[in-house]
Amino acid sequence: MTTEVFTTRIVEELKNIIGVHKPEFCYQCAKCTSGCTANKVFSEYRPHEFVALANMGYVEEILKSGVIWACTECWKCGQYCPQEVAPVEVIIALKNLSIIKGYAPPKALVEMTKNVIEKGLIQDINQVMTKDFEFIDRDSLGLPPLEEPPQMDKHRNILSKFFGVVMK
Amino acid sequence: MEEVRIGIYICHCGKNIAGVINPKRIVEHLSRLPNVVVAKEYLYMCSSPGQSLIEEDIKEYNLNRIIVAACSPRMHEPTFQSALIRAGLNPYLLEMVNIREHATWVHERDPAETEQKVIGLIRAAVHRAINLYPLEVERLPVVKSVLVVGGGIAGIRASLDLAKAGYKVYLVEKNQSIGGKMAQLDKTFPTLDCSQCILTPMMVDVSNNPNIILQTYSVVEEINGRPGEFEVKVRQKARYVDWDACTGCGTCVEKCPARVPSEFDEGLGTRKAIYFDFPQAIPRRPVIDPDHCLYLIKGVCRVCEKFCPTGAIKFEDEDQFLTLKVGAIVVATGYQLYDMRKMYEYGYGKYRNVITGMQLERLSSANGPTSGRITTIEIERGKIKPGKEPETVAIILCAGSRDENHIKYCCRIGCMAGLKHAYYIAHALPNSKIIICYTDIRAFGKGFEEFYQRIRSLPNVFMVRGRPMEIFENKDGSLILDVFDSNTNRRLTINADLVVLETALVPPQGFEEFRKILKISCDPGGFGLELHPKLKPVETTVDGIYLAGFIQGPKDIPDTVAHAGAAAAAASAFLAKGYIESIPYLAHVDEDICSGCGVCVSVCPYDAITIEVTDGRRLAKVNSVKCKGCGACAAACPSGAMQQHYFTDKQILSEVSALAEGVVA
Repeated sequence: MTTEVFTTRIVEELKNIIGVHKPEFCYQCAKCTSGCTANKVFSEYRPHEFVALANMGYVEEILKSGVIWACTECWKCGQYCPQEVAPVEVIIALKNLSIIKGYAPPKALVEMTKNVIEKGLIQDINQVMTKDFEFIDRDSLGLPPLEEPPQMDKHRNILSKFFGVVMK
Repeated sequence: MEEVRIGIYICHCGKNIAGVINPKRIVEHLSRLPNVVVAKEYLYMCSSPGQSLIEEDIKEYNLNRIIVAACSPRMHEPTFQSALIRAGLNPYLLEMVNIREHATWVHERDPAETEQKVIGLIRAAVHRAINLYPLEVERLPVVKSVLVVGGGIAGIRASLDLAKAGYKVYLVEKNQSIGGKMAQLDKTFPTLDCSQCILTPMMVDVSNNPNIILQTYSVVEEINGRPGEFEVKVRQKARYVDWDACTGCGTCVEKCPARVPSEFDEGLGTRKAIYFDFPQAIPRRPVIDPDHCLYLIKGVCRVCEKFCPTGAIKFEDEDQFLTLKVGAIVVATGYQLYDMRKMYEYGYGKYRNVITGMQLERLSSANGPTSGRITTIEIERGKIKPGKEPETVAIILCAGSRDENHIKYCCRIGCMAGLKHAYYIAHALPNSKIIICYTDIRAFGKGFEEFYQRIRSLPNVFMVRGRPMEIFENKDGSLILDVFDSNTNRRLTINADLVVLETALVPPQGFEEFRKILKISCDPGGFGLELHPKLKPVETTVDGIYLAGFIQGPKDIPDTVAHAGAAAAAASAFLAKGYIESIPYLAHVDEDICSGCGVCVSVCPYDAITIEVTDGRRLAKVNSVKCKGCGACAAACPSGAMQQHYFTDKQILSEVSALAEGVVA
């Protein structure tokens, strides 16, 4: 470790995006990670660690790893954080910074976004497979065809703009 | 009128002042000002040679006003006042100019401008000094008795110390018995000695001491008078038992049919409607809880009356009011637990096996609801019952403390209490597993680090560095919680039979109102504010009122006892010489001008002014005993009839116009 990491400009950039929340207040109680929805299924995702890394100046390291995209934005860490660090706010800022710096988001996310733009849903769930490897569609269950969510044109417009940025 | 002869003394304060401005150059300027006979500068005016310089000059030049341009008057005004007294001059003919905090410390980057500011301030002081006049200090008698509010360990210690020094002590306690929170504890950290065993002898000492008048089951309602002579109105709550007739045999308690959740047992056990707080209660005289006594609420029962051998039950008893005259007041009202129901993620109050540290103390105490057996909690037909021995216990530190959403400050005792609680369980149930979820272990006190080492080396105690976010209850009442241990970088899922929260601690209920009765300030946490965070830890903004123990801020037992001893010593020193000196800069009325409009009455925070009718004229009258010299009335008076000595309109305005002249010129 070199002392340079403590004073990188990228930390200032990050803090500008974060706004009112103060990652420097974090005392590493790890309450966020203890109850984290994403950490339950993806142990590399540890919000308290991102806050500590960001405070020390290891921002590029987080961005390169791409782990932050596992956040489900359930906002629990924002609600229960005892120091108003609200790790979720730091994570969202890191996501934004990641796009600004030109890091590509994970493929799965890109796929999902594509699906949303095309169909208004993250997955095409017109057909599912049972445990006996049979395919069932909505029709055979007597379900009506899926409709597009309301105001889809507006959302599609916004997402396309975002998509243009991330795919650039 | 005698000629005004002013001497000006500029202090270098080492480099604090002289490092920015040149005192020699300023001295040259000053000798041109009106009435200035002599102006000098010196390295340290507050030193012994510095003071002698002033004293000698007063005699040599026949000076009758002294201006010292140095640090804040809060720092050294008394020092220079005593120099004036030694030279035979009235101390209120001194004027201090703060050229350190107000000039050189704040504008050190611009010495030339700073010098101009210093000259301006001193010129203003010269004009004010011309208008100063001598003031006399009155000696007011003091009552050699002390009121101690709160009968916990702090109040007990302060009372015993004061009684030993020969003062009469009134110890007022709101509960039936003295003893406070310490009586509820099983053991004390870090030595693990039995809490009751060290406390009860002191409680007995209090009851046996002829100088201490024990006034329990009572609250302070009103405080009037002045420092040295407070008049305190105390409400003795209706006890429904004649304590003089009662012998404390306890038959009534035994026979009473009404069971109520016990406050002393933190709701885990029950007491009767006629009760002692706990078996070792002092005084050993019961009271009837009017909200639960069957006779008092339904008009039937009277069993206690039937069995009382001395006829001491008195159902017609009422609140009684007493007036105490005391010279000083020691506030030792302690603390209460933060209401953990507000921290809903931990489910306290909803999940029966999530308990507070204080509840664990009661479970572990031999005189507690389980006679010292640590068990889980069962609820049968709405009643709390002891369950089985817990196999796994999670102890969560900083529950509600150091939390922006709840209590911001550190409770200062939770770490050690949590380790102690781990010891209780590990000792009583060697096959159990205890998991301590900590954030930081703060082991700062004497013997604390050694205690931490002792506990963490127990084979069944596990230290997890992480804080659970949520607790969930299983069907059988056991609990499940996830905690991320940042030491091992693993997320642990704990199945606990019991969860102990080391709760945040806050000022006691009703302290906010009581603080207003006392007219003392509070800190952001709501605790009583000491006069100086380091140098005056027991004094308050009101003379003669002292803080003892937790009410000044979180403290463990040794610190509380030391602080209470200091409060007793301060109260004792305040009363020892038998008189106090009055503040000379009080408000006074020019009766020729006063129109009796009463604006002063409405702004006075001390009720010191009344409107009286003399010869058909309404006039304001200042009670010089109640007046604290705040100046609110003088500022509010529309006619200028109300003036404050040492801060008269003439004195202040001459100073202001001298300053303004400097700006215009």
